[in-house]
Order: sequence, then C-alpha cells, then structure tokens
Amino acid sequence: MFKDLEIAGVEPSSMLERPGYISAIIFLNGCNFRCPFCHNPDLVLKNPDIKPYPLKEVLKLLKQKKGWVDSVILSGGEPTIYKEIPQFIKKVKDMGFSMGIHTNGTNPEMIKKLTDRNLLSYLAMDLKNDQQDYAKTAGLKKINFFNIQKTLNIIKSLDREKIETIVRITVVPGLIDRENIKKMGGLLKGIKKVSLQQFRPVNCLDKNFEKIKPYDKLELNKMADILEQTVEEVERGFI
Amino acid sequence: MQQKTKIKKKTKTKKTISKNKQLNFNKDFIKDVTDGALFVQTSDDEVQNWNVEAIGKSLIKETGVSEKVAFGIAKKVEEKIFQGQIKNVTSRLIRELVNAELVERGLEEARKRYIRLGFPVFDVHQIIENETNKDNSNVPHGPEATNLTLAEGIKKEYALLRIFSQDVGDAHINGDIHLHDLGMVDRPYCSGQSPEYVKKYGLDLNTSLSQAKPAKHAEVLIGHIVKFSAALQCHFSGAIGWDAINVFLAPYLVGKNKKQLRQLAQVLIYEFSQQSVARGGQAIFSDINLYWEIPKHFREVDAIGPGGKFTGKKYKDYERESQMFAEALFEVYLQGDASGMPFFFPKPLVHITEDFFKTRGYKKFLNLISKTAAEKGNTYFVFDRRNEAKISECCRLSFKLEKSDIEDAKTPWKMRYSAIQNISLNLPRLAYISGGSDEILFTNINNLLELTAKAHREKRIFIENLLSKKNKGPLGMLSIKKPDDEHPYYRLHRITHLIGLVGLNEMVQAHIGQELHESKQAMKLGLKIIAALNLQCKKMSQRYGMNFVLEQTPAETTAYRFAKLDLKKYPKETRKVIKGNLKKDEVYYTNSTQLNVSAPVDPVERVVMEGMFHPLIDAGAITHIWLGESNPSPESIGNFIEKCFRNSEIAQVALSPEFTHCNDCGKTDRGAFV
Repeated sequence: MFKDLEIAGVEPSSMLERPGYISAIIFLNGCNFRCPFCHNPDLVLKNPDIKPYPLKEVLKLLKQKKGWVDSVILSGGEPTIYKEIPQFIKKVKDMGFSMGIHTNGTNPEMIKKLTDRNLLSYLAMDLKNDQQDYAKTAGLKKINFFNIQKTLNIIKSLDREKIETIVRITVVPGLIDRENIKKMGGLLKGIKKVSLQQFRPVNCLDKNFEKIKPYDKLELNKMADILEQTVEEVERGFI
Repeated sequence: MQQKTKIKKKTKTKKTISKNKQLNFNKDFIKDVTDGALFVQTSDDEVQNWNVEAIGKSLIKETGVSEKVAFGIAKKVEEKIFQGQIKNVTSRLIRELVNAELVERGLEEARKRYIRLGFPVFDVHQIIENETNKDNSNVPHGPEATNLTLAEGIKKEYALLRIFSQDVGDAHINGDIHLHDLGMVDRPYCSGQSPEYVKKYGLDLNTSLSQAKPAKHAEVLIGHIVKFSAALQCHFSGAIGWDAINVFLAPYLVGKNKKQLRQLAQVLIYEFSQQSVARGGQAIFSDINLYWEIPKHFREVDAIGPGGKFTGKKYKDYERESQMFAEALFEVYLQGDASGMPFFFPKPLVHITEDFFKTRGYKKFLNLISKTAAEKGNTYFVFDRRNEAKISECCRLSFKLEKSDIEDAKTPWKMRYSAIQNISLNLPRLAYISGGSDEILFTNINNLLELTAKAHREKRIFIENLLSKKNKGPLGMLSIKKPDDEHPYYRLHRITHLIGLVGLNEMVQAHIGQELHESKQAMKLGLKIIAALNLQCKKMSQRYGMNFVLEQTPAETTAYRFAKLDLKKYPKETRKVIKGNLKKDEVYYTNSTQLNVSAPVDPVERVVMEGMFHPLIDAGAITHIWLGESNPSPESIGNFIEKCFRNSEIAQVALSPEFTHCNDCGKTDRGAFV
C-alpha cells in the first residue's frame, strides 16, 4: 500500500499553519503547476537529490509526536496528484490526528471525495490569479479553469462547523495587481476566509523572480480592502 | 592605601607653606617653584615634603616586611628620585619604584600587597571618550557607565588579589571557571522578595534621607516598589525579582476601573524600565512574577492593604483585581513603548500551574500573554508542576520554595531570597583535558566543583564580614532588622550558591564526537554529566553547610570568553567543537545545557530534549524557542504552552521573535531587515 506516495519531507511541529493547532506538515513530491515564484522548486521539479522519506519513518515520527501535534497537513507539491491520498489520510486520521490538505484546486473530484468521506478538518486552497492570467501565474501554457471554479464551489458548500477552509493568495508584483484582485474578489464571493500573503523573493522556481521587490504593506492593505468587499474575513498574512 | 608623607622637618615646612597653597592650584609646576626642595603630590590631592621615612613606614604597614628591608628600599627609591630629573613626584611614582625594588628582591607577596590598583591614562581616556561597556549590552555609554567601568576595574583586581585565593583567581583568569560580576564583588548576586515587605514597612533605605510610612495609594506603593528596587540594585549585582506582584497589589486596586488599572500598569512598567540609576546607569534588572489564579500558598493568607494594615480579607478574595491588573500589564507590554519597541524590563514571568488551567478566563489570558510573546517576546512562561512553587527572576533563575518557605508564605514579608554568587564552569575544557576517558572526566568534574566551592566560600566570608558591620557597613541596608522579624533583611540562612554551566553540548562533542542532538548516546552522556554535577552539589552542600545549586548561566559573554581562551590554550580540540565564525572572531560555546542553536530540531523536540535536563538544574533553566520572522497565532502558542506544561519537564520557556528598530524614523517592525 502507498507504493506511489513520494514523501519528500516532514515539518514535525509547526505553530504557523492552523491557528490554535500544532501541525505536522508532510510534503509530497511533484506538482502539476510551475508557478515561477514557488519556493519549493525541489518538490515541483522532483529534484533527484532529495531522498524520499520512507513512509514507515514518517508514521513513526507522527506516533512520537502524539500528544504534541494535533493536526497533520498534506502539502507539496500538489498532494492531490496522488490517487492513494484518501487511504493515506484515513490511516493517519485513525492515529488520532485532525487532517488537513493544501491544494491548488486542480483536482475537484479528489477534494469532493475527501470531503464527502469527512476525512478533512482543514482545507487550504491557493488561488493563483483571475481566469485570464491564471495559466501565466501557474507557469503553464493553459489550464482548465473550470476545475478551479469547481473546487471553489466545493469549498463554498462545506459546513464550517466541520471543516475549516481558507483560500490563500500570494501577491506577486508583475503577476497580480489591484485589477486582478478585484476580479478574484468576484470569484471568491461566498468564500468565508481568504488570506492575503506576501511574496518572498527567495529560492524561487524562476530565479528571475528573486529580483522582484515585493509590494509594500500599504499596497497589500489596499488589496485586502478590495477583497473585503466580497469576502467575509480577509486575513492579512503579511502583517 | 594612600601614601601620606608626613611633614617632619619643621624648617623646610615653614619655608614652603605659603607656596604650597599656591601650588595646589597649579600642580604642574610643583618642582619649578620650590627652590630645589622636593615635594610629593599625594593621592589625597595634597602636596607634601619629601620624606623618605614615610616610604619605609608605609611599606612596613602595608606589607609587613622587616624594618631593614623597608628602609633599605626607601633609601634606594630616594636615590633614584634624586638622580632622575623628575619634575613631578607623585606618590604613584614612588609606589612604582618601590614595587620595582620589591621585584628585584624577589618579594612577590609584598609587591602584591603594595601595588596600586587602577588604569593607565590611555585606558581611562578610551573608557571616558569612546568605549561602550563590553561586558553588558544593557549599559548605556555615559558618565555613570564609565564610573562603573572604572570602579569595576579596580574592584575586580582587588577581588582577585585579596578576596579569592591564588588558585581560585588563577582558575578564573585561565578560564577554567568564571567568577561572575567580579567588579561588584562587594555585593551579593541577586535578590527575590515580596511586595509585602514594602507594603508592611514602608520605605526605609538606611540612609539619612527620609523614611516613608506604608503606602496608602496604589501609585505610591508602585513608587515604593520601584524605589526599593533601585536601592536593592545598588546592593546586588544581578536581578531584582518581585513575587506575585499582581496578587499583592490587588488590595490597593479595589474599585478601580479598567482605565485606571491601565494607567497604573503603565506607571509600573515605565518606571521600572526607564530608571537609569544603578550599575552604570542601566535600567534595573527587574522581574515581576505574575499569577492568573491566586496561588495556593497565598490563598488563605491575610491580605495587607492601604496603610500597611490587614484588610480583614484573604488574598483569595482579591482574585478579580489581581487578574484585571495582570491583564492591564500585558496590554501595556503588547503595545510596547512609545516607538513600539518591547520593554526589556521588568520581565514578566507568568506562572503556569495546574490551577492556572482551572481558573476561569485562563484561555483569554493565555491568548493575551501568548500574543505578547509572539509579537514582543516579553513573556516568560514559568512552569510550576506538581504543586511546586517558585520565585523566578533573572530570565531563568528561580528559588524553589521549600517546606519552610511555604510556612513563610503565611507571612510573605519574610520571603526574601538571594543567590550570593554565581560561578560558571567551563565544561568543554574538562573534556579536552580528559582525553576521552570517562573516569578522568568525572574526576575532573569533581575537582573543578571543589575549587568552585572554595571560591564560593571565600566570597561568602567576605560578604559576611561586610554584613557584620551592620548598619555602619557598606551593606547596611541589607542588615536592617525589623522588630517583628527574627532575621535581618538579608537572610543568610536562605541564600544559595550558584554553579553555572557553559557548553555541555561542546563538552559531549569533544568527549565522544557527537553533539547532544546527534545521538541518544550523546544525550545520555549529557544527562549523566549533569546528574553527576547535581549530585556532587548536594554532597558539597551537606559537607560545607552551604546550599550549592546548578544554574543555567545567563551570561552569553562567558560562553564567548571561555571559547576565546580555549582557542588559545587548546586550539586543536577547541576548533573541532567551537560554534560561530572563526574568521570573524565571532565564536561561542552553546549556552549551558542547551542544544546547538542551529541544530535541525523542531520546537517540540527541543522542549522535550532540553527539558530532560531541567529537573536536574535546581536553580532554574529555560528553553528559548526562536520564532524569527514567523508570527504564530496566539491560540497555537497557548496550545504549545499547555503541552509544554503537561508533556515535558521544561522549567521555563520564552519565545524570541525578531525585531528591527529603525534609528532614523524611530519605527519598529517585526522581522530582520538587512
């Protein structure tokens, strides 16, 4: 079981991920996006130098952290590219952890499967841009935007008592401006919580992006204000 | 030791009296205007006639050499003075010449007694004009600070010459051990006390200045506490810690609204943090212990209120006021000072106990102090498990309250604790000289501890002597005895002798080739070493009737000093384990029993692993969790703190965020900006 699952690394105890929780983050190898500003290029490109983390070791580590770590979050790369994700989440959930996932929203069927089976208590989706600029921001020639919309709709339909959801936007100058934000605001109508995050020009997939100067807080606050017109709660993750 | 040359030859004296008066105003020309007579400028700023006999007499008095030797030397010195074309003869010069004679005669002990302590002119110039205090980053550069540097220089030399024996002094100079605060050798190290003392007795500082009766109003009481802290800081080289300050202030806060409490909290924090009085114009190194609940040992204690009178209630009846004031204090901490910078003092130490989690509103308070920890880094979380009780101070130091102390808690004004001295051990060096042999290593550990005990004894004898002079002596304030208290302020029977630890990680690394976090074997050895140290402290305590306790050494400068000295003495061994940047001369040993700061160890593992050492370190230990630029939610920190309490043995934890303060615009922001 879980033969295909390639675990590239684990962050054993993070206080940053879910407010109120201590989370372990499991990074799965590989991604179907090529966002130029991504700062996990090794995972995206499946750097052969990264030795896969044996599953047995990961489970052992999680067992050790029991009592400290409340939540285990699958991240990447893009975890939904693995078919065995539901079974894997079930296995870790049965160890007594509250489960979460990071996704780029390209696999709504998988997200539906996970939420229908009540396997998740936390779901964070990255929204890269508005429809027009999406492919460029994701570093691809074209994408199926319909899937993104479908995932957003799943998130909108979820019971907030059962599952905590958040949509995250990383604001990269040159890719996203206020106009884009405005359009994204339209897409996000009905979403409960959005987090606006600062772009950090370090260790980017496309080295040219390391030269880009991030927006200042003033600009980010203005963007957050725009989003607040359509979204219930905007977390200003840059403060 | 001042050279006073008595005027003996009447004829000469008469001739020069009038000129002397004049000379006092223009000393540079002493020689020129005296018709060939030789005068000596003494250290009392007097000018006196040349008197060879006085030299001999002072030699006998100060060093105990024989008359023959003394006057032989005096004669020799006189010859030199007359031979040389010296324009301005000072007692300092005479002393230098006498010392040279003592060296020539091989009278080393006598020379040591006769030398003058102080600084070369060049150094004084540097200190006054240019230098900031290198030993302590809290000392600003200013006239008070340079006074401190100059005084400390002299007292340090004096301590090594006269208070500590040769082997102890040598061990300090060589870097086997570090005698902390040698420049303040005439003070005990740190003090922990209860606000009840000031509430009950008012303010009496053993000076001819005014005395104050017990305070009637909260703001006056805060004033008394801060002023008493300043006075204490003049008598202690280390931290001044206050026990359960929100609990004990509570009877003064009845009926006050949120705004008034906030104002009082501001007064307390600003007054503490901006006092630049003692120890070279530093802020008082102050700590305030805080409780959310009324702690068990104070619940049924009779409360003292305005005017120092019992209110007829118990402290448990003031929980609401106590909690509201704790909240007000943290609101001020969270806001920071006028520029948004965190307050460095007074450090808030919040006690996390089993009752904490049972007391209403704890979640909200935990969020507030966690938010402050994440954003400003102020909060120290002190864990009192299994009904233990502590007074904490100085970042990590704590006094565990024993049975007799819990008895004292019924009369909290008697609760006064002090560590008289702190001496740190250079642990890595012990490994270097043991050549990988466990047996030799543990023998060396015990030998070094014996030497440390000797050093402690010498300091104690010195302080006890100062205290024995009662209110006429330099520690008069600590000798004050209130009529209804069986002990003077400084309770010698309750003092501790601290033994600090530096570089356990490098010690283990040098001994078996692995750092603490690198293998189970390394951790095991580390624990075995600390357990052995702890056991030996207990044995020595019994043997010597002094309370020796291990402590995590607070002074980062000591870790640097040991590392530098070892690089010179044991370059091969040191280079293998030393941390930092050798090229840039930024080297250090890892602090106390902590893991390598850059070890790839997550916060949970760090807390668990470092926590294993803490129960063996009786005088207090801490783990720092480095947040860097990350800003976790208060709820996650609160969660982490509760788990630290329940799942680890860690004694204290603090979070360290990163700040940048812009000197140009005065703004403060989170994160490091290059």
